[in-house]
Amino acid sequence: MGSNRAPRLVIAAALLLLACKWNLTQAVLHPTVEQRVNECLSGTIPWPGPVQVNPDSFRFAVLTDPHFGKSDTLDVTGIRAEFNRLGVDFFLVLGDLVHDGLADEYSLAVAMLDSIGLPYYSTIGNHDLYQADGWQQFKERFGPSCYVVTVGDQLKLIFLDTAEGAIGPTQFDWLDDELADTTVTKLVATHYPLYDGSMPGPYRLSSTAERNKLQHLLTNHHVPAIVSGHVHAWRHTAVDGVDHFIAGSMSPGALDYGDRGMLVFTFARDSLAWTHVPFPTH
Amino acid sequence: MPGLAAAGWLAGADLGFGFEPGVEHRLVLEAMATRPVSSVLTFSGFIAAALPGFDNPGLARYGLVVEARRARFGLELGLAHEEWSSWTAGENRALLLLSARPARSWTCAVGAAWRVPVFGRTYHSPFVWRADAAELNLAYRLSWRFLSTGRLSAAAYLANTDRSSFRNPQQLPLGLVVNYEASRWTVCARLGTGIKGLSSALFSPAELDAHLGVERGF
Repeated sequence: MGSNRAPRLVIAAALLLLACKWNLTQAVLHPTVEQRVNECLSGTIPWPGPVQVNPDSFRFAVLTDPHFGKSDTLDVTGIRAEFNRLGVDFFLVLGDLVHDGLADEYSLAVAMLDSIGLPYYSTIGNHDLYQADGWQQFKERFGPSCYVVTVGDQLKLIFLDTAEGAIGPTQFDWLDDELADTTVTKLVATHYPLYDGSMPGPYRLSSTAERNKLQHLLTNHHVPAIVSGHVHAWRHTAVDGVDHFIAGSMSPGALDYGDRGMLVFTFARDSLAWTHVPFPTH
Repeated sequence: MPGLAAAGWLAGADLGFGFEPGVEHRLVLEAMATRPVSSVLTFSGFIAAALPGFDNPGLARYGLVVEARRARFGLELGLAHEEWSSWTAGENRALLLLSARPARSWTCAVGAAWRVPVFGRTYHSPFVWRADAAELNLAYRLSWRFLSTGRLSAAAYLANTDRSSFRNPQQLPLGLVVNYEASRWTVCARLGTGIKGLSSALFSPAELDAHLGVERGF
């Protein structure tokens, strides 16, 4: 009898611990991707405007998964120095800005990212929703999770909300419309990747059909690249004419899976070139 | 597989409706046949078409499965090709599963699938087995038969693969299967869903998978 009880007690204790750490009601009651996207597209959350760049040539970095709260030791000075060295004009942060979705973590995230001193665009990750008010915190501090910004009148950055590993009907329809624009180069940025190499982990969009449909849209609309995070590792996978990038995590310490770094894109005369830049290890 | 021990061939047909809001709704008609070649070894084949009037009409999937079973343990090896015609997307898949029946009403299986997505001009090819985006996935199947009264049986399942289809492991497909046996015929109904979007503590069920099929032993 005692041996039968032991596993149940362990599971109950684990659930209790998780319930204390994360708001587990959030697991099923959080605003769905459909609700968040509808809010983003309704105009109630102001979209960020385009940064001022030299339209003939500009450069931006892609950072992801800082997990502020878990890792509050981001080397802002080092990142700023690297940005200066590379001539980065602005940067993207692709979700998991905070670790447990707490208000204090959001405050820290804003302070740290602002202190880098360059304009940035962000989207949401799964960790950002780990509290009942996670979405509220995110949109108040960072704005929409699903939006478009066209930089230098030539590069359309399309941010997708994949915080639950899903895209949803409204966002698919909206994406199809946004991708139909043939006058600009398009880049899709999101948290969850479509593919993550051969790892057997749950680190990609949940549905096979959804992955296939998104890949079809990207190919059909001649999108050169999609950038994502979530995996905490650096990946580059070419699929049917589309470059799939997973930028290495910003997170040091326990969340560093050995691929800390960032992607740097250079846009010049309709062409988009990329390079992966590892973070310096101290 | 009722009737299999008593019969040589087992043949069946299944009509399945899969619905993922905003992504795909698909009506698939599948035919399958199973042939035991010894007391241990069984061969199966299947082919399915997605019907017009819904998404991705045309050939949906086909494949072969070899199963070795002894006492409570089994080894299953499958090769399959699946495709989504309108998206010019396909997948070639090799599956290896080890199964066990720890109790009469429980079946569990665990293994791995090598999945090779194929897109564009080669999406219909079953011969592409390497690609940048190929991935190794966990495969699992857990089933609990909670009702068995004469001709009727019902089971609950948590499985990302059956003989012919495969879901991403993090979708956690789950549902109910009801079988009704009449003479050499068996009517099978299945209703399932999956977790759309699971990562740590975020999940939302948002899909439907409904099947109705018949099997007959010969």
